[in-house]
Amino acid sequence: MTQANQAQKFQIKLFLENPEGLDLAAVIPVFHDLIREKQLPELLIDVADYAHVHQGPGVVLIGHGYDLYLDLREGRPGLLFNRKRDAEGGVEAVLNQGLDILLRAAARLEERLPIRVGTERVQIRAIDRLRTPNCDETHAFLQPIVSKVASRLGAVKESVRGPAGREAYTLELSVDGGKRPSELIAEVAA
Amino acid sequence: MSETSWKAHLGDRIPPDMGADIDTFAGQIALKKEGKISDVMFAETRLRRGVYGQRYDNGLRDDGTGQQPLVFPCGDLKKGPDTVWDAPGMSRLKIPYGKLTAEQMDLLADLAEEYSDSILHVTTRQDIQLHFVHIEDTVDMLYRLATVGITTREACGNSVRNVTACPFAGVCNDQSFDVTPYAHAYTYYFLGHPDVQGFGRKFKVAFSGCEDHPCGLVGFHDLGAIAVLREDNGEQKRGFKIVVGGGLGAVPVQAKVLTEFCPEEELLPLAQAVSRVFARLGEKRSRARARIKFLVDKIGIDEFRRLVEEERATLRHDDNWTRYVEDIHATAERPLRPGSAIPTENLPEGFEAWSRTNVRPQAQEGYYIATVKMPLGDFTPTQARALADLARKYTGDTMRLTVEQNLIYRWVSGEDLPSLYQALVEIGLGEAGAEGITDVTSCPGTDTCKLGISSSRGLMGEVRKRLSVIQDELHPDVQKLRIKASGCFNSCGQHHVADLGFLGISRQVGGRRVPHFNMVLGGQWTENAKSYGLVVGAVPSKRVPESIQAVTDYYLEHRASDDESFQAFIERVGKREFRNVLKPFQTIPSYEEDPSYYSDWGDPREYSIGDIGVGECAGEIVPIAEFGLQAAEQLLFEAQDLLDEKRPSEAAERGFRAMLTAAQALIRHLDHQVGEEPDDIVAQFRIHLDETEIFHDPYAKGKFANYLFAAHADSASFATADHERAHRLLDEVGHFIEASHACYQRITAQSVAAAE
Repeated sequence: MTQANQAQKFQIKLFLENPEGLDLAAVIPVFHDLIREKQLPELLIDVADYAHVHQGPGVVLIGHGYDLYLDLREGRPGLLFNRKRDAEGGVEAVLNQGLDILLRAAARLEERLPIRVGTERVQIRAIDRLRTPNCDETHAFLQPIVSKVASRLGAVKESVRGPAGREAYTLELSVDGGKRPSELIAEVAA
Repeated sequence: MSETSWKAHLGDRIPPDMGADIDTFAGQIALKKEGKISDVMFAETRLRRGVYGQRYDNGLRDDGTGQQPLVFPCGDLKKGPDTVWDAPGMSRLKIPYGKLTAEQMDLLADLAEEYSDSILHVTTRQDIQLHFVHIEDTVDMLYRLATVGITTREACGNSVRNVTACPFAGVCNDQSFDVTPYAHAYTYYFLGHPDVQGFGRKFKVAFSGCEDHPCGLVGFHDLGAIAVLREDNGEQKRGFKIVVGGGLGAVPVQAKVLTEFCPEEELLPLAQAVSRVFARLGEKRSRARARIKFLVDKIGIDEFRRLVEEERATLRHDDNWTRYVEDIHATAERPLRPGSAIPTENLPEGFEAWSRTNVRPQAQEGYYIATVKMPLGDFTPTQARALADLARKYTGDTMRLTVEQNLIYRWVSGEDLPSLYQALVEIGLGEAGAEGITDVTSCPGTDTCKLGISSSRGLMGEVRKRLSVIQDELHPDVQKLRIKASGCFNSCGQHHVADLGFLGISRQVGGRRVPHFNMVLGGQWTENAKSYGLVVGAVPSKRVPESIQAVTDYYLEHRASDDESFQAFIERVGKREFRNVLKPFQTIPSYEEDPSYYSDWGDPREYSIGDIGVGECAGEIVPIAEFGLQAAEQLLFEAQDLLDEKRPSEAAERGFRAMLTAAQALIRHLDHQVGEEPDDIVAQFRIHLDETEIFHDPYAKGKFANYLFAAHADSASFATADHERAHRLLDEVGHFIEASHACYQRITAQSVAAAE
């Protein structure tokens, strides 16, 4: 039996709508400003530049409890939230909190850079291989929770599970909506 | 639902000896959190498990407007002097001579994703490093690594670091013989060996299969071994030329010849004797002078050799010195597929350029070595899994990491090279130009290192990017030059042995700091890094890429002939001429005119050196006896737990082992040899600590020593000990360990008084 209900280490990724114009070097000062201005929750520490790595984490805003990547994985640039430690609550709470932070970071990036972070497609990866191995049991537990969290972006149209095997458990969902991150934040605040 | 741990989940897959060491580390973490271990002691404990600090781990970071506190949730808890518990750290994973299996690579991919920032980094010592790892994740990581035979033990600290070797060993055309089994034997013989625990500083070892080629780089190692064959009664006898006392750092030193020929069976005992001399006579107080190179320099190589020979004569015989020689082929690799020629038709685009620079034939006909060029030594978990699959498909299983931060496949059949290349292109690792001007090397520098002064990775990333665009247009003699950068004078980027080396420094201009690099030209990479480069001047970081072009253009225009190498040219022309070449690049506009000079590559913050911390490369100097006494206490704690769990016989046995461990620590502190057997430990204790009365308490006299002797005499009965017997024994163990601490303090106080 898996211990998926105790998992905390999740990645949430929203994809860029206009990846062709992405300038990773321009992301670095924005991430530094997020640290200096303390515009996101929890402690943020440093910025790591991996622009030279093929389909890598791109530029990483390193935090204590989570990191944010301007991620290039699979050749699909996007903004990725990576929960590492110290989250509170169960899986749903952890994912909701992660999505909130991701949307806030996306809104800040959109203010400063000519990029658009899409909200019609979201990818969740469960990277804790002890508690959430890539198996049917993990899928059965996480799928409804992830769908519920994703529905905050809009009604879920489709959910596709990534391949089994060595890669982490992955679920990608498309939703009706297309709202800007700033609108979604405003809705939560209201 | 109760939570399962990685340790429980992995169970028997964790080798017991590795598991026991990780258990001890887990115990130390728990004790540190309870405030029962000092910061210094814990720092050395974690460093010896490859668990390093990182930049900003003192809880301060300059955000461009001044130094700001980083308020971690852990409060005042520290993991070393001035090192905040919660601050992310670096984990160095030892990969002896760079050899990795596909299974190991798969696991490394998972670990990078789960505990790090999704990047695996190849170091200049054939290790893998993961950055931004939390201390409390390291224990799980170590258990998982143990299941595939990877240890981090002594990856840092004052001990034998990862043993490096020529990555072409066994398949090279020029080697005297394959040094792999010897590098392997050296690694595991000295891992945790008591004679390498008392060093004042780290100890780096390298093996090379030949004298003339650079792959082993023994010239700058604390101990280097070069394979030599010697005629002996009509037979080829294997042995090594041994060099000692080399090193890079601020003042690079070439290793001196200890012996021209050390027979293979004498390799380990000779190295043990070297270790014992270094541990006994090497500097301990000033870590800046604690490497063996200072000892060799101080007493001279002839006296050092005499001391080593004297020490060798006193060593107790150990069967493990030569046991591996009987099975010398155990580490040999076998090809997966039959050898064949490289196809000449229907080749994928880019293959010819790639094979020209990244492929070399093996000694074995029909097989090739393919170099995978890793940008700045970095790769992703996805790439790691693909690389593992390629190893399974083309080489049978293995890969090797190189000191130039690349990865190589050996035993690739010629006809497989085009499809291997194609697969590498698909994962973004099919770049040509291995071991050339675009294949730059860099230490972590200011990106993550506490000692970094300038951004060596930022600079090398920029140089790499610019040169890659014009690579094909460069003159062939420029294409093959090597560029290496170090972020500070510790020289981890090995810039001293590059054609063009760069050393991070800082300069004050108009009241502001400007990142600079000293340019070091003409280092000799060949002949095992035979000579070091010449510092020709400091260049602002932002102008280094242009200055590289100026230097290489100057070389092409002014060399005496087409045959004059870059090194020969630098030697002939000298420093003064190059000062003129660099002059145009040394002018710095005011901050108001161009503020970009006042920040570093890839970092928009105004440049500062305020983030430089106290380095952990040197480790904390904790005498070996203190480790032993700490370990004895840990065993006593475990024994008490066993007694609480109503397991008296196991408690008694564990308690007796605690006594032996404390006794062993004191014997070794007095520089006497002792094994692991109880009879030997007790006998040595009697001779060196009881009969000399060194152990005797001023009031209780030999009372506590008698506890050890009585326990030893009675040890056969521990298997049937009841609660009362075990309880009484553990009381005696506690007194014995206390007496051992007191004895150690008396010895130390006497040494200090004698020194003063």
